Amino acid sequence: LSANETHGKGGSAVCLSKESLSYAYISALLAKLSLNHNSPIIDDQSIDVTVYGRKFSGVWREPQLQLQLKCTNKSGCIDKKTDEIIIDLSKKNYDDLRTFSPIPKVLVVHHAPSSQEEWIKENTNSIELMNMSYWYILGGLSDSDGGKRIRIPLSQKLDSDRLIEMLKEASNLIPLTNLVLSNVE
Amino acid sequence: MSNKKLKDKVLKHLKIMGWKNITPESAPIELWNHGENQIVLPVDSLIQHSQSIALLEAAISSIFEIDKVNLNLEFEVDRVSVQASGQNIGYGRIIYQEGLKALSGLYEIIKNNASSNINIKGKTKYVNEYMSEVHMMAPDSGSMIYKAELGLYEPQEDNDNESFQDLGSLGRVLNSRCAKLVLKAAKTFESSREFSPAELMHVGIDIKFCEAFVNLFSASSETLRFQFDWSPKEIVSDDVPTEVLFNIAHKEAAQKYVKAFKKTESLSLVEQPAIIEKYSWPQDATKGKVSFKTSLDNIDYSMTYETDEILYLRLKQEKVKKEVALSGKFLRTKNKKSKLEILSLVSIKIGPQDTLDIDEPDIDN
Repeated sequence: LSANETHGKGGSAVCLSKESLSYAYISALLAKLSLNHNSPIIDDQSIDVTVYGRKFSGVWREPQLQLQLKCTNKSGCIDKKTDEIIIDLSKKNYDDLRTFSPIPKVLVVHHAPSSQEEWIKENTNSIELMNMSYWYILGGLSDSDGGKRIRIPLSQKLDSDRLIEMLKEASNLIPLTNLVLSNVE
Repeated sequence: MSNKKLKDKVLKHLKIMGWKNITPESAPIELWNHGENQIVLPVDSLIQHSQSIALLEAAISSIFEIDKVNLNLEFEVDRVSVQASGQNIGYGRIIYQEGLKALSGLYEIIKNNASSNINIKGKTKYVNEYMSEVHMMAPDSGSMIYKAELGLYEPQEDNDNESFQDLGSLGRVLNSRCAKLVLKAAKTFESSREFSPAELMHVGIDIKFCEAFVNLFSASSETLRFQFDWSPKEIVSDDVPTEVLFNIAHKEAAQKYVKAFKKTESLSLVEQPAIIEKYSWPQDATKGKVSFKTSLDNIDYSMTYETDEILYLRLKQEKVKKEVALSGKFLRTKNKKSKLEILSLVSIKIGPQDTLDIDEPDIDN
């Protein structure tokens, strides 16, 4: 099965399976970090997961992050020249994520192998989830007439260290910012 | 309910319960702490943001869990809470004797208010029925908070009495008058002017109120905060307060007035001989003043009576030095400078066949 296939072995649409993959990646990090989370029943605000920290030392003792999960396995989604992953957002997603909000919002884009068969490597004693998710902050970006192409530096890998750092920043009410200033086309 | 109203409701509760706002400048959220607990609210500038309703709902849920108060309930009764604060008052902990006296003080304020505002046939029955719908609530912590529910009492067998029908339930009339009396007391007690007992009684503040207030403002208290929550079941007028604050200076004034009241005696006199001494209408005043001279128990007194334009002009037809007879309630102060004051007049007899009947409300509400 490749990126061109529309349905997987089980019969469901691949686009839904990509959501599951993205969610599985985040769930694994949350489990490792003992972070609580919940998901809205209807995602009408471009939020897939709300992450809750507990007993943080900052002024906000139980900081939260809201994550919009995306997954791409399109060929050419990685720009090797600039070391960026490219994702196209709808105007709604873009506007929801860029507006100033009480709880910080983070775009999380998972880069999946083009072949669905390769999404998970099943070993004798473990499974490996391929490849990696990247994070991006759109807060404060300018308005747009239509959808937007976002280019995320590959240095913005979402791993457990970065996730916990973001929660610490939220706990101290420090606005989340990208490591490298925005690349928006 | 709008997000703004919901937030106002939450804020009101947090303030009453002693939560502290620790929000740093330009934060996107408000943080309120109480011991180990924290509540997060959206800042006013983001109150319409799609995330805000979830934050408010979470706050209400936390309040229910922590403070055991359900802010989602639309209450069907009025509520009063009195928060006593001071360095010697613990978190929901006060000297037993003081707490009991304070509770009795609040009870007396509520009951005396009902008693002095119902002046119709069957008064005792109405007061008792009203009081049976006044409930003591378990005190709250957050300093020491005494609470009562004031029912929106409607007389069940009120076939003939239409006295209160235009004003809403009798319960609401009494509850709102109680709140207005508390506000009036705050203004009176903080005034630099010293009022005579008769003047206090004219605005509804009598010795019972002052004593009850002093009991409520117990020795350990440094401030008292009255909070009135009006049920949305009935409309509440703008002049009815929701919050009234008192400090030690108010208590000291009340104690001073208790002493002043104790030197007085109330007298009901019928056709007490008196002489019209003087008429005056101060500039910009809404009432005229008529001075009388009288003698009681071989002591001469001068008294001033304030009246509306109609009675003032009628009395003014009588010459100064004219002998009249006054019937009504008087207050005699027994100290070095003995004083007799008119509390209320029922009639003024100006001739053998000529008596002016006066329909005067007992107190000014």
